[in-house]
Parts: sequence; structure tokens; C-alpha cells
Amino acid sequence: MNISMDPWVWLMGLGMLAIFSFVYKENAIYRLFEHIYVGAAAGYTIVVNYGNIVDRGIMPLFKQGKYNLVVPLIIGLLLYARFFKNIAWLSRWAIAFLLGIGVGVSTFGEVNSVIIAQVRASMMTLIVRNGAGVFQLGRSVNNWIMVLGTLSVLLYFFFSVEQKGLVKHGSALGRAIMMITFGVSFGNVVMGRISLLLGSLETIFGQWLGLL
Amino acid sequence: MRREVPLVITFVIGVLLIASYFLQGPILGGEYTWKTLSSDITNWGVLVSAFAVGIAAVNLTRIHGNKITNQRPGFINSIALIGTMVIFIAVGVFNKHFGTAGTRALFQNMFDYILSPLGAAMFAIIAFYVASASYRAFRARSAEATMLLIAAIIMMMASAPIGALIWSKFPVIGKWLLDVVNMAGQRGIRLGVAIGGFAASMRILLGIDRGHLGSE
Amino acid sequence: MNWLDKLQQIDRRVIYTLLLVVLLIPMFRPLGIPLEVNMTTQKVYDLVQALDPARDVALFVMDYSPGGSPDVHPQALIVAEHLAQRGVRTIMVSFVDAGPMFAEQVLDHVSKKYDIVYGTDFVNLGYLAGMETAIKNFAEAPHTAFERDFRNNPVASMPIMAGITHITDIAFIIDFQTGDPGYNAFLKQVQGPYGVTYAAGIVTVSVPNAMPFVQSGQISGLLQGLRGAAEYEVLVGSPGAGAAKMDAQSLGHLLIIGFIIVGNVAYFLNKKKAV
Repeated sequence: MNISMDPWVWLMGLGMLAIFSFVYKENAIYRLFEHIYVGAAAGYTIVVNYGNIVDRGIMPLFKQGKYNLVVPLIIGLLLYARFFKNIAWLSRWAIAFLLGIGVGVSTFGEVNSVIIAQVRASMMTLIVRNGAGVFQLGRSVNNWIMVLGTLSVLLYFFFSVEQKGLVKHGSALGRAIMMITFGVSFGNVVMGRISLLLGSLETIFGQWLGLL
Repeated sequence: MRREVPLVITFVIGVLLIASYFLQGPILGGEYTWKTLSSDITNWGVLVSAFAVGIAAVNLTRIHGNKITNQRPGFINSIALIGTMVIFIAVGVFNKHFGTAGTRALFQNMFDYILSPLGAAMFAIIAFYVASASYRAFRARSAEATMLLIAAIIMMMASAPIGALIWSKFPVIGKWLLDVVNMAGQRGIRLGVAIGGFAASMRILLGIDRGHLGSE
Repeated sequence: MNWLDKLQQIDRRVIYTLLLVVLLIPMFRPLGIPLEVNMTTQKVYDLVQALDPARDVALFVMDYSPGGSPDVHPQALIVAEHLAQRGVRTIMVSFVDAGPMFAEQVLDHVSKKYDIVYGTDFVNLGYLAGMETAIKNFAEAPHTAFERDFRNNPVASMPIMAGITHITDIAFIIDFQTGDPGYNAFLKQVQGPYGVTYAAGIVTVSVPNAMPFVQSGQISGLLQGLRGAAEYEVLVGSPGAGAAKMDAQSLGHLLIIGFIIVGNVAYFLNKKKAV
């Protein structure tokens, strides 16, 4: 057993125990550390973003004379107009600016890298043969499942036609595919959450208490 | 005016950026190119985004500041919150401008031993709730729920190394579920999201959707 | 109340304690269950192996936050080790604010094992706000995106940045992420428009969502959560944070499956009795 003598490690260990105590019951120590966490996260985020404002805005503006940077600095400040009743409407300009960039940046990519690329990837050979020309049953079936599965899920969310006949059957297949998809996701959620817990347990029992 | 100007700003910025993906060379024959335009606008976006983060801090300070001034229940926690935030800001900003090896190590320690482990612990406790939910809520009540449940169990056995020892086919079936069936389902859902997202973007760009502007 | 009712209404704290005990036992006494390497992990390894240290530069993107770090940080540690072992120049950058601090942890870990020179072999550029917008901005001009790195050194004069003026000067991108921005933003702003080879290290929860992009070849290699890290450690031959937890992961899964089965058996027997 090699328990840590580092005060930082003790602070960390006690803090983590406080957070874990919530599992037993909500309590005052948990609430205290929860608030400390929120304060730390907010403070940290402000510092790194302040760094961006200084390095990319204020320094180039004053040291390199990049005067066009006055515009984003003013727009950034306009975001805070919301805290002053008579000029609150000005903050909409800044939000509109951010939205314009968001839409402008993501639209092309969403069409090019998601819609076109994914539709193209769905156009697969349905009768698969290997190099010697021999029919590959397994791979062909998989390709059928991938193509029909994708189409049926899209069909399930297609609300412009009445769900009857072929559409109804297709959409039922889509529902079944999605159930398996959600099952796979749940399996991964279990694995992911256990991984996170294991990380914290390793910190407490290894780094702090020196038991591992 | 108060509603029209934001609509114009969104439209102009959005259209210029979309155009910059398709156009090259100088704009209107000058020295300024489409590439520079795109670079400038996104650079401005980085700066304005950095400003946006502070809004949450102002809100936090207002809410918890009020709690402290009026000594409402739990104001000690609010003091801890504001105190920690101020310490992080003070050390971080000092480190930014007058940083030495010592201040850099101090700020790194504050992250490594306070912020990071507390954040990790917050998310780690969800594992307990997942275990509890598996026991209490995960029931094979219908054919569809049974499909979901069986897929989840196979996936769990496939992704844990012990699964292959119990039955060598678990990883094979798990991989097939993930790579083929799940892939088809996720692709259908993702394409639906992409199409919906594109439509929503166009509505914002053209000023049809104005929810973000709030009421008059 | 019969035993079936009791079984169904067992105190949640019993479940929590069982989970804790089952996870801790193999951490103290490892079982040594063998680990098979997934194809997507193998691909990331092969991509790193194929890099030419004399010419190629890797972009090491640190896009994870503390909440999901136990799932992704071990991946970053071992891939960084591999890059250092191979002597590939590695530029670290973050579009999530916690990223630069984790990058420092990675650098600290790697420098203890390998003789790396900061500014020549590795650099931690820091964080850029704006998520997808920032990724686009960085891709268009990586050399001017940061005037100073996270340690406040001027970037322009660093040997590692020589010849890097666009994202296409980067041979390989590995992006460790816990959410947004992540592979969606990189595929849209970098891999799609410029065709740069892109691999990702993601949290286990996000693995199913990423599969369409792995199938389409847009994501060239994928590290799947903590298991991905453990597999990579096997490939590099340096067991570390990932491999040590795989036994506990196995028993944890068995317990959860046990919970599902017992919960369902109790539910159906009780239902049958009621009828």
C-alpha cells in the first residue's frame, strides 16, 4: 500500500468521493463540490476563451495594425447588450452574425460530406462476386440488408404518404432495424459508462490510495 | 429595423460563406480573394464565439451573487462557486500574461486535480444508474423490445473480452450487428438528420425561421 | 410481499454495491483475459506505421472534455507514444477548451518514455474557439491560426511548423473526441473538401453513430473507447491504462446482463402468477 502524500491528490480524492456520495444520497458535501466543479469549469472556460480574444483579436489589432478586427470585437461585445434593457435588441445582431457563420460553414459540408457521401456509399453491389467470379452469398446478403435497411429507416420517417401497403411493410422493417440499432447503442452505453466508472475507480484506488 | 438588420446579417454572411466553397480567385477583380474572405469571416467567428462563452459566466455570477447578497439557503455553496471561478480566472489570466514555470504548473494542477477528476466523477456515477435501469426497466414487454434487448446483450458480450471465451461466435455476431444492421439504421437516421438540418439552415438563411430573434 | 416482489423491488444500493465490488475485484486481481484486436483499431495502427518520419506530419486533435476522458485519454496516450516511437512530427491542437491541458498530460507522459524535443517533434498549439468554424479556419491556414502556442512560444519560428501552410500539408489526422466538435465537423470541413486521411478515437457511446462513416471510408480508422485503447496498447506492445481495465469491463458486462435476466425472470414469473 502506497498512499499518496501529495495534497493535490488528496484534494482530488476527497472531491471525487464527495461526488460519488450522491449515489448513496443527495447531501451537503456533494452540493458543495458540485458547486466547486461548476465554478472551476466556468472559470477555466473563461480563461481559455479570453486567451483567444487576446491572441487573435486584441494583440493583432494593436501590435500589427489589423484594424478590421475591430468589427468582431464590437460584435462580440454586442452579445452583452442583452444585460442592458434599452440596448438589449443589439445583441440580436451578434447572434445573427454567429448564426450566419454557422449556417454558411455547415451547409456545404452537410450536403457534400453527409448527404452525397453517404448516399454514394449506399450504392453498393447487390450481387457480390470475388476476384475469381464466384458468387459471395454472405457479402451479398449483408449489402442487401445495408441498402434495404437504410431505405426502410428513411421510409419510416417519410410522413408525406399514407403508411399502407408496401410503404407500411417497408416502414415496419425500418422500425425493426432501428430497434436493433438502439439495442446496439444500449450495449455501447453500458460499456462506455463502465469505462468512465473504471477510470474514476483507478484514480481513487490507484493514484490516491495506492492500492492498485 | 430591429428585426430586419439581423435577418440581413445572417443572410449576407451565410451566402458569402457558402459561395466561398464554390468560388475561387479575386472578388470583383480586386486583390481580395474568396479564400481570404472565408478566412476572415471564420476568424471573426472564432473571436465572437470566444466572447459568447462569457455570457454564461455573467449569468452564473448574477444568480449566485444574488443568492449570496440575500443569504438565501445554500449561499455558502454559491460562495464556493464564485470563489473557485475567480481563483481559476485570476491564476489563468496571470499565467497568460506573466506566466512562469511555477504558475503554469499551478494552473495545470488546478485542472488535473480539481476540474478534470470532478468532471470525470460526475459522469462516472451514471454507470450506477445504468446498472439499476438494466435491472428495473429493461423488460422484454413486446417483440420489438425483445429485439432491442437481445441486440444489447449480444453487443455487451461481443465488446467485453470475456464474451469470446464464453462463445467464440459472440464477437462475430456482435461485429455483424454493429457493422451491418446498426450501420443501416444509423445511416438512415443520419441522412434524415442531414436533410432536416439542411432545410432548417435554409429557413434561417432566408429569414423564414426567426425564433432565435425572440419577441419584439 | 412474495419473494418475486421482493426480488423486483430490491434496494438500488444493493445493485450499486454489487457493481462496485464486481468492478474492483479484477482491478486488484487481474484475470488476464486475452484481447482480440478489432479491424478498425488495426487500421489506425497501420496508418501510423505507414507514416514517413522524414516527410510526414501528423495532426493530433485533442477534442475531449473531462467527462468522457477516461474513455479517450488512454487512446491519446498510446497513439502519442506510437508517434513518438516512430519519430513522426506531431502537431497537437484543440477545438474543445479542455484539450490543451490534456495535451500537456499526454506530452508529459510521452516525454518520460521518449526523447522528444518540444517545438521540433511535438507542439501543443492550444485551443481555438468556434467549433466547426474554428476547424475550417485552422484547415485553411494552420500556420497563422496560432501566433503563440499553449506555452506562449512563438509558433512561426518552430521547426515543426516548417512547410505547413494548409491542412493538405498534413499526412494524417487523428482526432480524439467526446462529442461536438468531432468527426462530423472534421468530415465536413477537412476530410470531405480536401481528402486528408482522417482517423478518430471516440467514446464507446458514439461508436454506433460513427459506423456509417467507417463503412463509407470517410473515417479511415477508429479507436472504439477504452477497449480501442487497450487493443492499441497490445499492438504497440506497451500495456497501460486501457489493458488494465479490460478484465473489470468483462465482469461488469456479465453483471449487467445478469441484472437484465434476473429482472426479466422476476417480472414474467410475477406476471404469470398474477394471471
